[in-house]
Amino acid sequence: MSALPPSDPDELVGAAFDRLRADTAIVTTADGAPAVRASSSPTNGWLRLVVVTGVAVAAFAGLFTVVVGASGWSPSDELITTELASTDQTKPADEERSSSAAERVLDIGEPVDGTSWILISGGVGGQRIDVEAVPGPVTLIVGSTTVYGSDGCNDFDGTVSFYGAQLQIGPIDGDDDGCGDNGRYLDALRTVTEISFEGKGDNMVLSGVDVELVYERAGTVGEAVDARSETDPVRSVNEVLDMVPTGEFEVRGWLTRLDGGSILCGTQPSGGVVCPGRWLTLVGIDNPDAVGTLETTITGRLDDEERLIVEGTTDAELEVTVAEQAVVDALRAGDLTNSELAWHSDEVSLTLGGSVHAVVRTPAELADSAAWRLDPDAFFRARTGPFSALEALAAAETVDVSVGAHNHCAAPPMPLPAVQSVRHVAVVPTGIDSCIDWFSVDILFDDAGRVVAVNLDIWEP
Amino acid sequence: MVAAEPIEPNSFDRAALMAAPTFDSVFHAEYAAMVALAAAVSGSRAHAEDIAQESLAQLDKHWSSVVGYDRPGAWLRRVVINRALSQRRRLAREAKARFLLQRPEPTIDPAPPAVDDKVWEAVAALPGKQRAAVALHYLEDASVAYIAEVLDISPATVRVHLHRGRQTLRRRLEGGGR
Repeated sequence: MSALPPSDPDELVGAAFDRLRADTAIVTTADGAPAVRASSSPTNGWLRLVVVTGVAVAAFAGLFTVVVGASGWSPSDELITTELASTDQTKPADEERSSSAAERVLDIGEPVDGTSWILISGGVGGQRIDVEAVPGPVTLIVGSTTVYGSDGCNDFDGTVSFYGAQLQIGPIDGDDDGCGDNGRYLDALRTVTEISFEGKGDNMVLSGVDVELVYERAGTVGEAVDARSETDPVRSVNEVLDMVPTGEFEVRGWLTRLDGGSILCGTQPSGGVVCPGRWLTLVGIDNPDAVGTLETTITGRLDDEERLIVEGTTDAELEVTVAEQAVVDALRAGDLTNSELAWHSDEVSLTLGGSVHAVVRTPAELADSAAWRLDPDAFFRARTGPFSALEALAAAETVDVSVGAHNHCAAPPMPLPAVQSVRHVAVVPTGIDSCIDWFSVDILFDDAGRVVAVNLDIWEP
Repeated sequence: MVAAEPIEPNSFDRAALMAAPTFDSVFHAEYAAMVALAAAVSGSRAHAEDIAQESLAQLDKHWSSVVGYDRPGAWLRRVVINRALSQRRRLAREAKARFLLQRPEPTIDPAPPAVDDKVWEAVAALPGKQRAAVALHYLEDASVAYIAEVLDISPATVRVHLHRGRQTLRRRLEGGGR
């Protein structure tokens, strides 16, 4: 009765989702109460629902039957039935789970999760750091490889390396302008060697030979916003995090301020937002799809409702539109009379390497593929012409289409043609073995979605 | 001019269109689907039920207002997806911290069925919005318009997400890597 597994990728995906749906299907018990196939840990699944949705459970009346699978995910697993006499019985398990989860985070996650810390006391070389002698809070945010903060006068940033529970901070880039004890604070940071947490994680201690810095938790941006992001349609940190693609640091979004209350905040010339006692700069944001590759600081201005507004580009704006994709597809297919090809009404620039060689064609001329061949007098990227964006596109088996600047193969990004455009869609080949096969075709669109220029670039050996 | 696609309500939304839906009826109808959605988007089956339960708890908390929405099911799915993406981000941070602090990974996630390992590996590697769009498409056969409403993005962007997501899955499952 067992069918052969499908080999078509689409069917494989569909079958996997079908199995997932079947595995999570509710099993209705004889008395009509719902039961589910829960996960392997009895404290990790259904039991918790009894606590968090007490109203719903009460409505089910009587004993509550839970079917717990040995692994929870295989339809063939032996089912074990557990009856709960009352919701009270679930409380210890739930509390135990919460406690252990919190400890796990404190134990391993605190140093790199973007928590903002405020210095409450410290000293180095036998001299106390006077946190009251500077105009602003003395702060530190520890990222996975970078630290950020304020010495109470100026922002600074630097690098950090972890070796188990030991760390090394530095070099640090910040001004030592004699404002209070700010220089002493930076010196202290440069000499700390150990990181530890006290209490329930509300205090962080950085220490070393003859140095100790004690911090108080100011809050974690992610935690603060998580609570409202689920229901609030207003852009949240989570949404902004999702907008930060790998290598793209520009975002637009409303970031809820770290804490509520009526604290007035102001922007710093260096870009950070500083509030008396609290400040907010998002650092070391980890794109879940590019862990460890994205380290940046996102700053912005506060609006009237004290939301941090970060200007930039939304994810939707970074997506290739259907119309743009249609242009790419038509060009790849050499379908030069395709109605989806919207040319600028008068002239379209065809260029090599941005400005190395350029010609202007009319839309009528572009219907002839011969008009796409560019033949500069001199070498282009150490090769001789003619060169054609159309031919490059046609030769590529698979391509990646993206919006905005892109890297070149083993070379820095090159400038684009100097034409009036608002969108830049880049097509580069994928699955190539060598830079010799690399090219980019940059299609520049105006605000009406018409193509104003097509640029070809290749790799220079 | 392309005609707007109709938004097809899911079971919750259909229930909402009926007279006086109750939390119990919605819970019965939606719980399993929400676990599946959470599992697909978070990449963690062990956390999927927590996510679904916490999301339904939110629904319970906001029941009086949510049930009055045109498409309360879209609201619930958005909550689940937001929580699932947050969970995934948390897991990524923890994994990174464990690596940096040289701590072993706690064994909290039961192994998924081996038969689908490659598929889920490929799904987990998709960007968040693509993963959510693909999950809604495959799990619920949701229309582009409905996915757009759940994810709060334009239908055109949904099409791009779906196109790219399916293209990437196909490439990876055919052995082409990234």
